[in-house]
Amino acid sequence: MPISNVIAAFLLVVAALYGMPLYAASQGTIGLTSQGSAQISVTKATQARISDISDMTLNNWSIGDGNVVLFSNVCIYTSTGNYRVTATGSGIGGLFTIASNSHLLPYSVLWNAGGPGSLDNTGIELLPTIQSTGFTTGNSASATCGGSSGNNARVIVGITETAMNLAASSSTPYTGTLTLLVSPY
Amino acid sequence: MTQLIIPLLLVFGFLAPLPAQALLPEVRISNLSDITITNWNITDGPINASMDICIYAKDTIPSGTYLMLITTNTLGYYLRSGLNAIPFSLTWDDGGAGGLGGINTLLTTGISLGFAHANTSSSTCASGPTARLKVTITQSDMMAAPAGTYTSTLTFLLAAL
Repeated sequence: MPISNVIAAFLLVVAALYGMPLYAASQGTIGLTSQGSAQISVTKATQARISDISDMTLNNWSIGDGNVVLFSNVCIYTSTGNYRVTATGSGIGGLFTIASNSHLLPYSVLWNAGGPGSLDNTGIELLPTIQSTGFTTGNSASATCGGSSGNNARVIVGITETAMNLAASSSTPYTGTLTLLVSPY
Repeated sequence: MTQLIIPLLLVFGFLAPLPAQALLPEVRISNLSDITITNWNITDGPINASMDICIYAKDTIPSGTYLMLITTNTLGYYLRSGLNAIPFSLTWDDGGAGGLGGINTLLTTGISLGFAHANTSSSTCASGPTARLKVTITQSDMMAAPAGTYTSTLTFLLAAL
């Protein structure tokens, strides 16, 4: 038999074994006692959820009011506890801009992953559509972080006073959508 | 001479065939199946899975009674993945053929319990399974577990009462 045939036969056997279930229940036989077995297998996929995020609104800014800082505390659940976040604005190419008709106003986004009770308005700057570095403070036990008091991250939106001064006055508000994508790792 | 005959009678009596009325009981467990949950996610809630089982017990006293012990290879009722573990609970429904879905008895690792509704005539439970094993994992325990594949092998030991 050519060696190539032997190798092919071996590979077929390996493939067949690989496709078999790792475990199959065994049935008992008749006797004074009888023993069988079965396996329980549960797979929990790597998962994430962001929740409790709220809209950020500034109703009326006037000259001299200074920089604008808006934030929302959020709950980050990941089955690993670790995650990265990607922020995408509603501007062209996902840029962080809000718009009023044809007028644009740029903003910046910071991410604070301080954990429950330790959130403030400092953080790591997120770049549009670029995945952040890793954070390790995701809640791995509760998809709701046990309520809003358990929120473990803060997204901070900042608009400089200069940008506000340069922005055209408008009777319609500047609005935009910020999309946050949480990826567990 | 009398002293010699009596021991011989005792030996022969022990070796003689048992009377037809003194049948040894026999049992069998079958219809076992693996339980596989392939992709649990956080919106799925608790895990409730079950398997219907055939318990055959012939010539047990009282009729249809048996002892059941379920052990695992994972140190108690835990699914394990490396150093991580998820607790689960087991309940046994001994409703008998056509009577499943009633009372569930909570099982405890290492402790055998007696039940009473085995099939007494068919080792394959021709009239239907006689018992149901339910496996329950709470949502909070699933939530708390890191991602991974968790397994445990259950060993069912059935004995005549």
